[in-house]
Amino acid sequence: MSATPSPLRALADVAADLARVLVPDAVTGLLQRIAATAQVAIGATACSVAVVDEDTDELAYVTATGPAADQVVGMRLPLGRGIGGYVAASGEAIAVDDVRRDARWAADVAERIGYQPTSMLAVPVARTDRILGVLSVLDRDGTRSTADALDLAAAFAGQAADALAIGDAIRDMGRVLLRAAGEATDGDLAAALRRAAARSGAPDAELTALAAHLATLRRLGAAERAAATALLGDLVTYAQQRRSRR
Amino acid sequence: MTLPAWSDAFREGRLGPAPGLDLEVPITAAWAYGDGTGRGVRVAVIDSGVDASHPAVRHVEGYVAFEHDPGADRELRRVEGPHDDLYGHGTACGGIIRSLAPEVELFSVRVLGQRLTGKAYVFAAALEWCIDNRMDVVNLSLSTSNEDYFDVFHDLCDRASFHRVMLVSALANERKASYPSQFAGVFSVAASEGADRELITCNPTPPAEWGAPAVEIEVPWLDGGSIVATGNSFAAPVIAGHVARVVGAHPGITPFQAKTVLAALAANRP
Repeated sequence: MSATPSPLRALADVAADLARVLVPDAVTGLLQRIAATAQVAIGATACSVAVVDEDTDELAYVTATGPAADQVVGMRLPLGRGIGGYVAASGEAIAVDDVRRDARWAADVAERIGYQPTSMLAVPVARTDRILGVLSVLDRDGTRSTADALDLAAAFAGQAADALAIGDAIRDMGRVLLRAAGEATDGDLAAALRRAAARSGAPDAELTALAAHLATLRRLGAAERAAATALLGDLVTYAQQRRSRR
Repeated sequence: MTLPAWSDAFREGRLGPAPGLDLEVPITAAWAYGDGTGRGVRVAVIDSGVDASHPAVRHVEGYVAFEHDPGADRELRRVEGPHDDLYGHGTACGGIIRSLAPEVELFSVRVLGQRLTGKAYVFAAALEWCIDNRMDVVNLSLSTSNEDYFDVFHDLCDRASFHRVMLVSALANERKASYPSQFAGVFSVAASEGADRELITCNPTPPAEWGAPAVEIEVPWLDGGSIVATGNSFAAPVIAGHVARVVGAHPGITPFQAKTVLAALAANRP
C-alpha cells in the first residue's frame, strides 16, 4: 500500500500537469509579432498561427491578426478539417485563390468567426520530424506572387516553429523540475530528478539525468567537482573534434 | 521556400549523377516512352478519391472504396462503384498522372476520409486489392508511420514487385519513418524545384530515390478548380506518369527494369 503523498508533492504534481502556464508570455507575444509581421510583409488582411494538440487531434488557434482575430484565437478544429487542418495533417503548403468555391473548406468556421475570406494560403509550422502547427494567411492584396507569398509564409513559419519549440522546452523543463521538487520534499533531490527524468521522453530525460549527476557532484566536494569539470571539458572537446571530422 | 523533408537531396549542387550503365547504345526517350500515352496501362490512385468530372482527369475507369466499419468482417468494408473525391488530394494526383500519360486507365481506390486520415489496415487492404486486381502502376501519395505495419507493407511490396506492379510512393513531408515509402522495392519520391514535369531526377543515394517538380505548383483540386501546392504528394504522381508511359511502351517490364530505364532518362544522367 503506497503512502499518501505530502500536500506539497501533490501540489507540485498538479502544477507539473498544468506546466503550460510556465511558458512565459513572451513566447505568445513573439508568435503574435510573427503573425503581424507576416501579414504586412505578405500583404494580406489577416494571419494566424495554430498548434497541433496531439492529445485531442485538434488544431488550436493561439494567435491571430486581422478583422476576426478575437474570434479566431481559442478556436479549435479537428485535424484534417478545412485548409489549416489539411496542412497540419499532410504537412503540405497550399494556396487557394477562392475558398468559397467549395463548402467543404470549413465554411462553418467562416460563419462562426463572422468573416468569409476569399483567398487563403497555409504552410506547415514544422520541425524536421513533426508538424507543430500551421501558419495561415487570408486575402492577399496581390502585391506578391503566390510563389513569393508561399516563400515568405514558410520563412515566418520557421520562426513560429522556433518560438513554439522554446515554449515547449520551458514547459517540459518546468514539469520535470516541479515533479522533482515535489518528490524531494520526501527525500533526496538527485534521486527525485532521476525519477522525474525516467518518466520523461528523450531528449529531456538525458538532460535531466545530467542535471541529477551535477546535483550529486555539487554535494560531494571541491575535488570531485574539479575532476568532473576537467573530464566533461575533455569529453566536449573530443566530441566536437569528432563531429567536425564527419 | 522551405522544402518538404527529403527534398534537400534534389537541390541544385547537391544531387550527384544518376546511376548509369555506360551502354553502347543509350536508352532514348523515344524508345522508353513509345507514343508516350500510357495507353492500356492500369494506374491506381490510392487516395481520397478521384473526381472524374474534373477537366484535368476527364474519366476514371474504375472505383473502389475501402472503409473502416466496426460491424463488418475484419472491420473492413469494400464499396464498389463511382464515388466523390472527399478532399481534392486524389484528384490532384489523378490529374497529374493524366497530364503525363493521357490514355492510362485510371482507378480511384479511396481510403482517405473527410479528415484526410485513414487507418493503416485499410490502406494495406487497398494495396492488396491493387495487386490482386492486376494494376500496373499504383500511386501512393500517402504512407503510414505505424511500426506495427512494417512487415505487412514489406510483404505487400515484395508481392507487388514479383507481380510486376510498380509502386510509386511519396516520402513523408517530415523526416520520419514512413512505410512503404522508404522501402527499396518502391519508387520513393520527393519534391524537386522547377515546373517542367518532363525533368525528373534520380538520386544515387536513396531513400529519396526519385525527384519530380512539386514545389509551388498548380494542381487540380475540387469542383474543377486548382490550387497552388507544395509537397511530396504531388511529386509521386509525376513519377507514376513517367512509369506508366514506360509500361505502356514495354508491357511486362519489371520494376527493376523500369527503374533502370527512368534513371537513363533522368535530367541528372551521367
